[in-house]
Amino acid sequence: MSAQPVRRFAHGSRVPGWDEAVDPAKDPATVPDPATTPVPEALRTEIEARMALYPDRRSAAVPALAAAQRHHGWCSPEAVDQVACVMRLTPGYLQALATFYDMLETEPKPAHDVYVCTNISCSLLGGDELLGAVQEAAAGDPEFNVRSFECLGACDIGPMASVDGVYVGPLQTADAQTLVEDVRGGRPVLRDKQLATRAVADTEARARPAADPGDVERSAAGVTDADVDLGGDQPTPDHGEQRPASGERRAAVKLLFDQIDEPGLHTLEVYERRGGYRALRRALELSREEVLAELDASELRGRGGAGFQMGKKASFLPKGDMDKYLVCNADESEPGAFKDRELMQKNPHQLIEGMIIGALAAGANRAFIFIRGEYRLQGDILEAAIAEAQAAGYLGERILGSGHTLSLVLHRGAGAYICGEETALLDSLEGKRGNPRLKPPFPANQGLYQGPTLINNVETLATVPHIIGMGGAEFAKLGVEGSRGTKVVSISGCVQRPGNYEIELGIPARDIVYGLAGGPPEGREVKLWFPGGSSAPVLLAEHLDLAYDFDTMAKAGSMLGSGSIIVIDDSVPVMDVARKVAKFYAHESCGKCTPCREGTNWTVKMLDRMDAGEATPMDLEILAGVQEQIIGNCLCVLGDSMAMPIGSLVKHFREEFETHIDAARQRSETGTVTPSPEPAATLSDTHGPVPTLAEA
Amino acid sequence: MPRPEQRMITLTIDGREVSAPENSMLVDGAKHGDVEIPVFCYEPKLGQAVGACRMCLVEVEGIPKLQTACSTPIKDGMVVHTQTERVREAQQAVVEFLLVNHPLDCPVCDKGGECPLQDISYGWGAGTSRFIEPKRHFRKPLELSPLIAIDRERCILCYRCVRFSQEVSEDHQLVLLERGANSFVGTFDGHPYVGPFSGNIIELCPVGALTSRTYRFRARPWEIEGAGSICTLCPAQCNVSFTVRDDRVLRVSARQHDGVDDGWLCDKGRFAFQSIHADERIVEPMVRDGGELRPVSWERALDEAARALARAKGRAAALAGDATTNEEAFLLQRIMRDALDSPDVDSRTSGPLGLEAAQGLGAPALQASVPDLEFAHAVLVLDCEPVDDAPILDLRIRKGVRRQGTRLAVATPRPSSLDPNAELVIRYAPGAGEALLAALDAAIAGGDVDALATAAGADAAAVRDLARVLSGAGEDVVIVWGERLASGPRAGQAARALLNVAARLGLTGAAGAGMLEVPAAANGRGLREAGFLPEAGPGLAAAPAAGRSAPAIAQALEGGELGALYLLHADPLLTHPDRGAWERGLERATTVIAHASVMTESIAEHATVVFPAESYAEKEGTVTHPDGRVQRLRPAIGRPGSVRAEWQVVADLGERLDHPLDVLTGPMATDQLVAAVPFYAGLTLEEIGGRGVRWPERDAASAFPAPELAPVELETPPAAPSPNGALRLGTFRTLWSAPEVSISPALHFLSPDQRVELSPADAERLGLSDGDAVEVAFDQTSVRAQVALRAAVPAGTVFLAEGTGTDAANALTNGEPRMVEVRRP
Repeated sequence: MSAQPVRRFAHGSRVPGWDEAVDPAKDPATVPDPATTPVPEALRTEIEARMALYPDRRSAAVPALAAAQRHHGWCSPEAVDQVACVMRLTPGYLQALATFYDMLETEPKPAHDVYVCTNISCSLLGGDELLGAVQEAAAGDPEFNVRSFECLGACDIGPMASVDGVYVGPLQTADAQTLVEDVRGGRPVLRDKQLATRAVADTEARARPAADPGDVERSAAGVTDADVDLGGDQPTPDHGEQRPASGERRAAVKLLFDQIDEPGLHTLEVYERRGGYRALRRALELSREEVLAELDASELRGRGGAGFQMGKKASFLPKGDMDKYLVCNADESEPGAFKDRELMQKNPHQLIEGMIIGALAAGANRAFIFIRGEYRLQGDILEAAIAEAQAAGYLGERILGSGHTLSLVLHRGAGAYICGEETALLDSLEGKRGNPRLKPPFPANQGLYQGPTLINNVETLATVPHIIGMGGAEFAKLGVEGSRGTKVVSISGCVQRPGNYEIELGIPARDIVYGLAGGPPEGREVKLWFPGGSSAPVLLAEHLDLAYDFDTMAKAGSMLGSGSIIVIDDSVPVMDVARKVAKFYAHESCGKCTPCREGTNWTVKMLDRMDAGEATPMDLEILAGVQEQIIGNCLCVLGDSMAMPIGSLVKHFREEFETHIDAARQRSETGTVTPSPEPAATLSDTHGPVPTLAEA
Repeated sequence: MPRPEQRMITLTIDGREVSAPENSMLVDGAKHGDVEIPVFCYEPKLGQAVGACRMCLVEVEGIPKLQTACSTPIKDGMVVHTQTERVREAQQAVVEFLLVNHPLDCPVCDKGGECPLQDISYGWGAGTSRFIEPKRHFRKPLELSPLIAIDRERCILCYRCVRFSQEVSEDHQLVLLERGANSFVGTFDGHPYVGPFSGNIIELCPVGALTSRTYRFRARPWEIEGAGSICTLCPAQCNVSFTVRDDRVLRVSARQHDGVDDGWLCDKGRFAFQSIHADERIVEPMVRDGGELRPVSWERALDEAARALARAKGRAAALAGDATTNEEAFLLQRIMRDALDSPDVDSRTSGPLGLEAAQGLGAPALQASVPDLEFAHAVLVLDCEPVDDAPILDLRIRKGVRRQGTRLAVATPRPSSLDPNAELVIRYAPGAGEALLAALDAAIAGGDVDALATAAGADAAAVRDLARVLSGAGEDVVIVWGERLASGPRAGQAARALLNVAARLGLTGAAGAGMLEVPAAANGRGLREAGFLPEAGPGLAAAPAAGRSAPAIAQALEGGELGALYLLHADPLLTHPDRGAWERGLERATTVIAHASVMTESIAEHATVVFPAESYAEKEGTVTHPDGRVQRLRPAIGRPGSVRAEWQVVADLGERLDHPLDVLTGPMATDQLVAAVPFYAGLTLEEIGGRGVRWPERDAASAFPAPELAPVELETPPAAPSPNGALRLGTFRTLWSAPEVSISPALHFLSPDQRVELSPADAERLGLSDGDAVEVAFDQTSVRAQVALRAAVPAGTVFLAEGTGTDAANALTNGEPRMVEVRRP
């Protein structure tokens, strides 16, 4: 090491608040007295309405803070005091929440929020440059709150931004000016680049009327009659066609994505016309055990990441008259994952129907969808769909005249990756900081409000109507042993056609990366890929011929996870990948357990040091050792989610790391300023435009 | 509610068979086999284990991943390894991680030498670190409150302090802000963490992040001694350990006793030790000479006092309060009754209880214990505010509600801090406790609930609900009631109504059920049992001659029927209703002998002879907890100045009055007391020991003169006066209105100012707003106060604090319901 003085304060985070003493002249901050705390009537009404939705009023804390932020512009002490007064909580309790969640701001902020994603997939495509461009375009304008944000769940339109909650992308630096001007002019921002108008990448899944006849044949083939023909006297929709003859390679089967872009599919009318809610009618005729049996027979494994069999999980819930809960995990925040977003936006009733059936299987009478706050559009669509379903008698007391009751509430998060961890999600839904809980007890016994709780991912639940529709056994004929059915795969990064594709589990990964997504841009090779989001240990190009299913990925030393593939090509330095991954998990660590909190932070510091030329290749031993110390020692999987990919990167690319470290050290010692080995690739130009719905 | 039973099971830890109670966590179970598993975040007092620090990872056969021993319940036949290579590596990893950002400034850290982080790093760490990056450096220490300093560099984020704030004191003021490695312990918007129990976080902190501002840099662990005793600053009588250096108390820590305090202390108990060494302490005998108190020799003071008392034979009275021990009260009442023929002794502040009620309320069969609060099916908090009157009971009640699902009902005139935890809240007019109990009695046994509830100013439907909760919750019902309930001229009738309700609910003789009184004086129960009541002598036996109760003493002094008053740790101007009557009485009295440790108003203005008294850290003797636990005070430090043992002073007076008490040592005084109180029979200081003995659980309890009290038709209580434009006056005493608080520099900021709590409706009617300066007046008397608007105060009632000095509420009260006027001065 050079003999530089130790740079205190330079490294690590300087957190507002760390250096602040209290003002002893103030009174202690107890629950504010209504007699001395005026609250605007509109805000009070909104908070009280939110509180009425939950069995425990505290659950409304995060939505109430979000409402106060809308009202006051930020979570000011006054705003927090008002929420505390209405909710009968202390302002300290609420401040702990406000500082935990990224979307709640505890400093005054400008009116317009522009969140630019700089996570791995977007940054590969120029997210950091985009952030710079937007910051420059909005420079000096006090109305703009431009900030870098972790993965917003739209890697398919990377590099992208969320402008006052509206997703736009893929953007080029040149779009920054228009973006800012649109906001200033009060116009819809970058209208033709809005996610809302975008068609699904999976061309075979697009609505038939507009697609070419060949597509129709392929998308319809393989959908069994059982899929839709289940209502007895209901008319059979016209898209059930013959199954491929045995021995033939089956064409792509579309269940969840079947004609997902059909106009109006998000409305009850179109959904019902397409045979929607018939699976529910059938399920209502079955007993809980029979529904469970169908789920068991389907061998459906959870699509959220852990891959636990859904039927088994649902069967763990005890019988009895207590309140039981079904929670849909729609907090899709894993870098590289964006499948749930598309499912909720385009076919919300499919999820709702799946939840009602899931609730039957679990014996649950209360259900919640925990959606990440960034998914504003999808949340709005779901809220409208829930209201429609409620009005039509699919939800509420005595569903369709049966003895079953189910209330369904959409709960919006406020920006925290950790809330995708099921027990952290439960804490967050209970109105607490999203800290994972110790297991046992497992949620099936003591989950939400200490009651039995079934938690499933959006895609898992959205698959349920198809299982009931076609029969569990029929569903199990799709896919391969251990990985049954179809799976929506999100693919992003260095590929030509990023997006969501519904595949049958077990097809070769190469078919996805090259066949569907078009592979890396011309002239580049796959260097490595994350098979299941950025928390999966990386695999190499040689692994592309493996079957893409749960067990094969596990055997290869990685995991299928949520089915989110991030492809990195040979133009990207592995150090950049490692730093992005480590920084993300350090930023998202909740801080509860020691190895994760300190380990992720230490790893970032080490990688920064290596990149800055203050390390030697020997430090890789420490880096790898620290990852070893994290794995298996944490309270939840977040620590492992960083340690496993970082560990695998060091294992597979040690030489490149060593070269990088040496080069960086030479630069720093000789003082020569040379650019990093090769700039990160910007693929926006090679990134084949996907037609919008209007074009399709 | 049935208490958890302990069944022993056997497991194997590190190859050795260990027998431990079923359902205990592995960390605790391992201790039974002398195996220590290191922990930081685990503290069973804080509720469920959180498994955050990961220090206690161990290997359990049959489970692939390492398990946190703090959250793994032991099972029969379980095989556990705590010493394998894998466990060792995990533990070393956690220590290394914890020290990544810890500054390791042990040489200048106040925790050094008594620091779990040091001990665990030494015992389970690798001894080296591979972390060479710069650590975080921040300003330190910072103020977290006037009592506590915070050093965020040292914090290892174990969550203990914030869990305390959230799950024990439930004040939710201290929280974790931000997340991940940026997390830090803090409060809302720069507000200090101030609450009745904040100091407990200092003891909970396993590193030097939270330190006591009164103790910082006063001593090193090897320079101090610990001395166990009892805190007598309130009736909760928590078990404490004094940290002593050079014969000075520097710190008070909890000495965990599950039957008393559960290991917690309130901030008064923790920080008011400063009063022991305050300048205001009286350390010499004094005699009033030429209008001023002047220091004199003990001989002179004793002679003066004895002469004056002898002159006032048959016309002397005595009040005892607060920290008076059983022995002191016993000896003084002997002097008063036997040597001076003066039966006018009282340890209560207001109104005659009557012999039957005193005996009925003290009966062992009706006595609930502190742990009963936790495991009761239902608890009724009646006319007391535990957090102010006996703070540690507040934590016990919350614990029961939180952990055992105890059903809590609160029936108080003033909004209670327990309201949010209660299933049922009843407000009634101040002083109408008797009417409320009569209504409750009628709701249980039949009667005109509506009329009685109206008389009490309470909601009849709520009273019926209360009856349903108390009779339907289960057999274990505990009523926690404040001495305030049985006060005023109808104190006896109110007590009778309470006993009636208890009888109707079948609380007598039921294990786990009963009543728990919160007396006004710290040793209120002990003083009564030692004979310091006008109607009862030692052992609550009928006094040979009934004396006057405190209000009557004031009147008799004023009227000249009494000439001398002995104040043993009592100051009626501060604590007794009808301040005006006491002022006049003290003024008229020819002799006022004050036996006290701190100079207070009655003494400074009116005492003719002053005997310096011991502080509670210097005393030897016994006190009796409200639940009947006789506890032992042991001297932690020597007496300052020429302070003498109080029993000795009283004995010396006896000599001079030709009535020798035959007491030569403290234990001899205890022996005399035990001999005189039949239900203490056989009790020895050895038996009491460090943990105390609940006499109601001993065989001798059968000697208690318990009256037969079958339910009766109650008298019709008087109705509370209706507001009609005026305002009902209610009073309360905060935890902080005590001389020990006002003279402890660290606590001085908590000394309350007078505020009148007003409902928004009344404030609007009177055109007043929050913070206005007003006068609260009755007849010609008024006190000044600031308006404090509280939405929860019922319209038509205002509340004033007692014990705040000249503006205290007792200037306006006389024990009977009062209507006052609130006006701009």
